[in-house]
Amino acid sequence: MATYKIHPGIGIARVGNSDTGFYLAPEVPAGLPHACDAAGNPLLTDDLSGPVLVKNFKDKNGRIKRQAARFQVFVYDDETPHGRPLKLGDAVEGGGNRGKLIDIQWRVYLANKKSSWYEFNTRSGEHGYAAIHPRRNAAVENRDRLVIDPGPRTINSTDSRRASFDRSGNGVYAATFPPQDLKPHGIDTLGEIMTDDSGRLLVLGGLGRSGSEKTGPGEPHISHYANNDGWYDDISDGPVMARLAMYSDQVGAIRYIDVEYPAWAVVAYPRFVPQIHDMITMDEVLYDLFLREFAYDTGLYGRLGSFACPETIPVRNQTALSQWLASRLTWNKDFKPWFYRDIWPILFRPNEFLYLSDILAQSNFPHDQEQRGTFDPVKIGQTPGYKPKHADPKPADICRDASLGEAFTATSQHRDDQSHDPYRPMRQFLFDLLRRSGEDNEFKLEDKVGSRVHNLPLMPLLCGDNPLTNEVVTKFLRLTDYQLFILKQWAEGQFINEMEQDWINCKTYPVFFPYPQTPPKNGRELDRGVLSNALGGAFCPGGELNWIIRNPSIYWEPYRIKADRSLSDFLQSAAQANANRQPPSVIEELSFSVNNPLSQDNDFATGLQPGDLTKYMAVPWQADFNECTTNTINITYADWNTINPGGDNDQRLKREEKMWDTLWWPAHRPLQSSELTGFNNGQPVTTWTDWSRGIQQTYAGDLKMVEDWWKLGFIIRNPYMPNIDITPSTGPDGRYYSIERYGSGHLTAPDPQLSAIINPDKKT
Amino acid sequence: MPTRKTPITRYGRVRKILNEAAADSTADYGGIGRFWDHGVKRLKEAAIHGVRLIAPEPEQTKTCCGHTTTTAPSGCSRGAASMLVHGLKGEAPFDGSRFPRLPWGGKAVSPEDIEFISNWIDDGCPEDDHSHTIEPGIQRRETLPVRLSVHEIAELDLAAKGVRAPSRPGELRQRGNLDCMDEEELKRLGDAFRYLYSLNDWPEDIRSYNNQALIHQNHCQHGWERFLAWHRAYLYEFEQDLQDYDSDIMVPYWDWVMPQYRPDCAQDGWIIPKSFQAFLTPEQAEKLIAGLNPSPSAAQKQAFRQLAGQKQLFTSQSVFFRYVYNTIGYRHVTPQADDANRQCMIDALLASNPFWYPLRFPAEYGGKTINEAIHYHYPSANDIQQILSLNNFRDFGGGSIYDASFGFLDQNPHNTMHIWTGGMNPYYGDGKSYEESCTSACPPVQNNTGERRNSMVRAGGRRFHSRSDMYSQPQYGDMFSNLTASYDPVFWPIHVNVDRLWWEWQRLNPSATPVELDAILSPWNYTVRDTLDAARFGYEYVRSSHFIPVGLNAPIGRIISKPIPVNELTQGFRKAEIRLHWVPQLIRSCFIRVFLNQPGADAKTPLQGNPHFAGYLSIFGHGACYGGPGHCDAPPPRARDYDHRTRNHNTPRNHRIDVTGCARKLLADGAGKLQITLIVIGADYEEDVDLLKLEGVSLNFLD
Repeated sequence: MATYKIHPGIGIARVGNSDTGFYLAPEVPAGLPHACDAAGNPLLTDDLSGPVLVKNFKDKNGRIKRQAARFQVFVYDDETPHGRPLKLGDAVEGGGNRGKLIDIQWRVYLANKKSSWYEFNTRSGEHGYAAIHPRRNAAVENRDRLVIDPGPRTINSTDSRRASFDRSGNGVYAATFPPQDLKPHGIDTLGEIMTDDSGRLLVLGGLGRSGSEKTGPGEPHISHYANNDGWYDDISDGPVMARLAMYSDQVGAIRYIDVEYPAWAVVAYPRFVPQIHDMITMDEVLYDLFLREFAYDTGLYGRLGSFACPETIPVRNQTALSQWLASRLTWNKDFKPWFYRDIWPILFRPNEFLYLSDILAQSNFPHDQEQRGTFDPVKIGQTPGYKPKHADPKPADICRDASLGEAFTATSQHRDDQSHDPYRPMRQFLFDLLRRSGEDNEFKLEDKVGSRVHNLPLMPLLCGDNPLTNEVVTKFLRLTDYQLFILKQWAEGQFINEMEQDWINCKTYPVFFPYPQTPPKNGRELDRGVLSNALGGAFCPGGELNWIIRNPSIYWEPYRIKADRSLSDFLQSAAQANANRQPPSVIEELSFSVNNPLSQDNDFATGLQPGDLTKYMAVPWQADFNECTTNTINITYADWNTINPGGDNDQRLKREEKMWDTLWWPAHRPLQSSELTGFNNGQPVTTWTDWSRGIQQTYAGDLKMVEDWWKLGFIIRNPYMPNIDITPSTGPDGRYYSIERYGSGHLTAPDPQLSAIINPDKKT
Repeated sequence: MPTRKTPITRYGRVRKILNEAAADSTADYGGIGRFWDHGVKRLKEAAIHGVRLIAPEPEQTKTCCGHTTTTAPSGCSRGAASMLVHGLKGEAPFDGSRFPRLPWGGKAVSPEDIEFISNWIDDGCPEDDHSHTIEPGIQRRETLPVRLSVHEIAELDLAAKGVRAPSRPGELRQRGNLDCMDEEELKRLGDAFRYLYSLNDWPEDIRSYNNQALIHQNHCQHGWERFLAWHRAYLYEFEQDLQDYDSDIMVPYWDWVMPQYRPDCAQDGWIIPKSFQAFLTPEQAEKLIAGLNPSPSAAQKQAFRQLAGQKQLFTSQSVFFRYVYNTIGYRHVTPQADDANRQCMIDALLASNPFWYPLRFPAEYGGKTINEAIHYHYPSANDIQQILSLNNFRDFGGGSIYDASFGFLDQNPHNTMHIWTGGMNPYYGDGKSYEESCTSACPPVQNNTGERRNSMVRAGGRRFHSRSDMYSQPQYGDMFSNLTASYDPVFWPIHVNVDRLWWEWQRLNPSATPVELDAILSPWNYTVRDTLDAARFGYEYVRSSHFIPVGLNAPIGRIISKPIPVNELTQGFRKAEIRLHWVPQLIRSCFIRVFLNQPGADAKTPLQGNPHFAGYLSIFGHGACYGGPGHCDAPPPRARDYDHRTRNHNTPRNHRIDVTGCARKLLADGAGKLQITLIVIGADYEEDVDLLKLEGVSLNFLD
């Protein structure tokens, strides 16, 4: 029996102020978006071997193109238990009917609930807001009008292929929009949807327009990074549903069947650095969550003693899942991660941030991946007992040992020893530096008895979920449990090096761009590929979404948001459409059944409504985006973010107060970059400069960002540098630079002949 | 002298297969290199990153029951359990998640070669044997009976036909599969229907069949979420009405998708259950012969008698009359409603079978199939599986008042089965004869007949179940329309099956409900919520059930039933279960072992490897009574009036043992009957003949 599912389960669209230009969201980690035609059909390379990657992020007027979230239906059956994309013309079955797929109807419902939701205040509300927690626009009594609710839209793949989330309500729905004269920018649409020639859905978000309804002297103004009364933006999210129309030869009639469950579209701000991964991606947060809360891979994390014969836990059977959660769960200590697939991409990442900020250069490149560096993959990837085929006559020279600080130790073991493991101290050093569970507020472990790391800051040294207030303090970011687990295995020598095993080619493997670049093979890889380009922390509130995404209550199953199906599904059941003998061109969207406005509250038991994911984020988004460069974290006391020495005239405390300027998420919000300024002898000329220069880190700067966000440059991998995928970074070597900054003559990276370089052939 | 070619050993071939597949790969498998090249001994112990490649040799171990058993991981063969075989097939953990497919860096091994390697492992990884020397089969050691601990016990008979297990307070009763019912059960059900028909003579008696059917005509709910809830209550009320006449009656279900209905070409299958088809009893055949004018010829009489004697079945009156006219050759009959001979024949058919109904023309659509004529198709098992896989109530059972949408179960198959059984009368209108074919005379079918089914049948002015109504020639069968559907008794098994499918679906989706749970289901006072739990109405669904009375009088050490015939229709069950009914507290703990088709089984009969061992149950002993006389007596089946105390812990209880695997295998191997042997085993692993009391044993087949 076949089952039909929409993938990705969560799709990421991104705003742009170009009302015509758009491209398709990347579907692989750190991938460039895909170029498409005006109907959303992906452009293919001349030899049709793959997609054409985007070279221009802006249209000819210099406006940022929108990123479309693309959804497609996958079929799961005996033939392909892991799913394959469904195509028009394929045989389909369901609801007791079978036939040939002649059309796909798509229904999407986007909304923006930011302005009626609770004020964002760090981690407050993560486990439910207290009744006294203030709402945004608390003075407004008609709460419903604060929700931007254009109503649902439905299109098909044949004769009705576009719809807009505008004020019209599509003629059948009484839409709710803010006043038309918002300043500086009014909001008339949350975006649009369309189908490409293959029946896939594209969701385009808003135009990045934000404005305040307040009038008078000094308005509009911004006075907070996340909460600004009177303000609206055109970010949104909501469910995506699909209905298959089949022609049944058996009975000579059209029959309908809905896919198994809705997917979810999330609209976010542009990804200005598409090819650099955040230290923790949303994919990594969710994978860890699903392992621990949904028994996603019981061979990796499961009941003690069950790893020889891993269990299958039906995730929607609440009793079975609760029983599993209540048992003695642990990580499989026999699990061996792969170095280049699992370990290295984590360790590789921080060094990339040197291209986005001054800070790493100022710290003398602590993540050096060259031969002398702490992060040399040849050394830290060597498994115990491995004898290199072309042995370096000199044994490994230097190792750093965290327990001895920066002291050097020489290897003592003989290299023919089976347990010969010269780089164990290097691995252990890196692992020891990692911040563990419970150390979220520790800058370094100097004040702990038995500290394993002497006087060195714990890593990652990035802001945590709450470096701001004294409630549920979470100063610094830490890796997920899963990441820490596999790094522990690696540190202990429990890992596999794919090069040693001849699984990958050591000459051609892109060690220094270590992400899979082949298109997703199935629906799950598509889910994960899309999410890998979204930010997984810190959540204060975050990039695309905040901490709500790590709440197990919002999922129906892994990678699928639990939807309120009275809002997500077609208003008329598929069986009713069968009874009505409806042609697929008729898209029945009667509005009489919508008898309640979108809710002001959450109802996780029923499911999420349109707007329920993005409502936690900052309004307008530009304020938080602008300010999330660095944060000065007070590290005087682990438990306190703010202290008040002045209140007690405490001169000693004032003197001893310690602060640390900490980066937020440079891959989502760069600080500095090399900027392309021109070409000399066919080679790019760049200048290291502030990425958003002219826009201050102030509330006035936030307001400027509302106007100028689209003028910023996009930072890409330098297409003129040969072999950068297989050679380590040598520090500020210009392997990334910013293009298309407004006012720079729309400098785009390569000339057309060099497109092969910007679209490197990753087939190895 | 020619040299004999030395055949390669099987191990040699294993190496050859693996080396050819590995080609020039330099993979070193976590340091052990080409593990297959270093002799069988090392291969058997080889492990890649802690994953052992060859499953350990099955060990002969003692189980807790003291029996020798062979443990193979998860019941599969050693080869299939070996990670080498998993790895060559690319199965977890060699599916790319933990490790790539074996051999690393080379090409995949063909399924035939993997099978060869797996068989070699099954045979214990012999080092030097050759393919042709394999001796299949393992010698079995006969176990000799040590002693007979109990004297011979007579085989216990099944309960009288049609008698169900006595129902104790709180115990669910079984609605069974219509096609698995025997003649006696059908007769009792038919008698109850006839009784309700007979009450039609008192038009104001609510119990009458017509008044029960009128409830549907006036109140039925279709096309939205009340459909399932309303009909569950309706079926219950009707069942109670039948039970007022015969308390053993449970309404059966018609599982339309069983193979005999050939769902993919249903017009060539049974069409409707045989028990609902037309036939003549010998007695009615004689009456008919006597009543016809002119009298049939001797040969025609003989043909009528033969038809009755063979219980020849006809799906509808039109098929019957064409048989009489064209095959028997009695031609003094026309389709006219007032034709006396036709009336005589309809009378005989009605008298012969209480479930037959003349205004029913199943599968007849003017010479077309239902697919062609109505654009609906007869439901298949796959269709039902698809519908059962729907994950929300609206899609399965219909939408709420704000979303008055059909659910799939309601729209099709339910609607289809109405149309299927109602059908179109080929003799609608005047002036036709029962010539062989009538297709040319049939009116064309409108394209939207399926959607308009409820407006296709005339209900006004009719006197249902009156003779004149039964003789009439309407355009459509009564099942076609909701207004008239339940006047046809086939309505009930169809709707019981719809209810059964909801009951099944509820188990898969325990929290999926209609939106308006407080809505009243007129004309009763049930709310939708009241109908959610079928157990409240006291029934469950089983395909068929066989009860063997034992009696509580004396303890019994061994129970051997007479062989219970299991017909082909019953054999597609999902689950087979033996239930022990009304077992009082036992003083001592015991095991109860079940053997099927091994009447000589005793405490020493092997369990492992014995295809007749079906399962066991353990009952925890209560211990000796420390009270005075009567302290541990079982309480009366029903509490005294005003005894509101909680259920007595000595209340006898039922136990069930799943025997699906054993029963299915024995039946598949050709056993047409199942004979149950229950052995009571005490803590000393000897038979305990003086312990177990029970009211009876039943064998149940579940869908």
